[in-house]
Amino acid sequence: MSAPYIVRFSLKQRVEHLLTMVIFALLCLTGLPQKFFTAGWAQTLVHLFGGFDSMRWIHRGCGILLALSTVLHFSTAITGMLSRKVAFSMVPTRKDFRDLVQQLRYYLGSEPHQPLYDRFTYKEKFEYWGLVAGNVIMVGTGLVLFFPVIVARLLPGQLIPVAKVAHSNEGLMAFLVITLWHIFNAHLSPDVFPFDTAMFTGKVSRERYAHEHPLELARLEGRPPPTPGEAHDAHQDEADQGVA
Amino acid sequence: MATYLESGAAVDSGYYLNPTTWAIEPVPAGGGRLPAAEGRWLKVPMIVALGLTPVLGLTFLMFLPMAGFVLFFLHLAGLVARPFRKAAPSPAPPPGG
Repeated sequence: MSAPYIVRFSLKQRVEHLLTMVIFALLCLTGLPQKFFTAGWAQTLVHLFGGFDSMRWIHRGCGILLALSTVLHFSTAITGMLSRKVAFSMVPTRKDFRDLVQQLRYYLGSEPHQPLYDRFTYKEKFEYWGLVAGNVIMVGTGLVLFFPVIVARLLPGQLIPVAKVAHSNEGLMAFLVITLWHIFNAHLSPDVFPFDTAMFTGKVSRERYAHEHPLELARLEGRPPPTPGEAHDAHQDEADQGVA
Repeated sequence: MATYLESGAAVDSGYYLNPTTWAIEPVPAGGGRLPAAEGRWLKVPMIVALGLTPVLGLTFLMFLPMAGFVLFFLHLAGLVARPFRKAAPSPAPPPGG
């Protein structure tokens, strides 16, 4: 008999996600009021954090924590890759480019089946690489804004207003991506509504895994990969049993 | 000259790139077998494997939003063009046919 659930995320990954989530929320709460300082909601938040000065220090503190967690994540990822024991499962392959096109065509009604996914879907890889690129930009530009005098001694001074624009706009974009894209995928999507617990418990039911990651499940269970039609029929049967 | 290896082949430890699927496969110390996949595999230096990782990640990051807009507008264009395609006269029969 197959296990009722699959362990998808390790404790380290879950702690990393929780830390990123808390730090990101605090960075948005203390950063966006600085961008939209004339708005009423921004002034309310400034008062809640004890004024502009203390809010900026909380923002810088969280920024340092984000920088440290990013460095730690990169070191762990590079060490894992150098060990040759960790699969490059988060690196996009040609299949992800094809899956994206097939999935969008399916949403538009011009494709009969959704693609079958392996360990990570193209959406998850997109979010991951968006976070990686976003963190590099935010940490880099944040440090320029934190130490403008030192930066101006070493590099052209024009870099400081450039860093301000990049930091401010990338921050807003990250906030919008998380609130629109991530909140939809983790909370509002019909497959997980109201809350996807996988990132907190580390576990996903086998039934859901068969629907969302059928290629990885087949590999884990030593079966040949299903065809799109088989995966669709299996999911439909399970859904019908659930209804009955 | 580069030596290509078949999927499933027993290989030495190292990094292997599949130019057909763009997959990078690490093989641990002691060697192992290449995964089953379409196309063949090429052994690459560690620096190439590590360098390709962010290149593929960032390329995908740029590709996804653009592909979304392109597919959406192509679909819209298809919907707009559909009535005209239906209304088009059927081709004339071949002479003498």
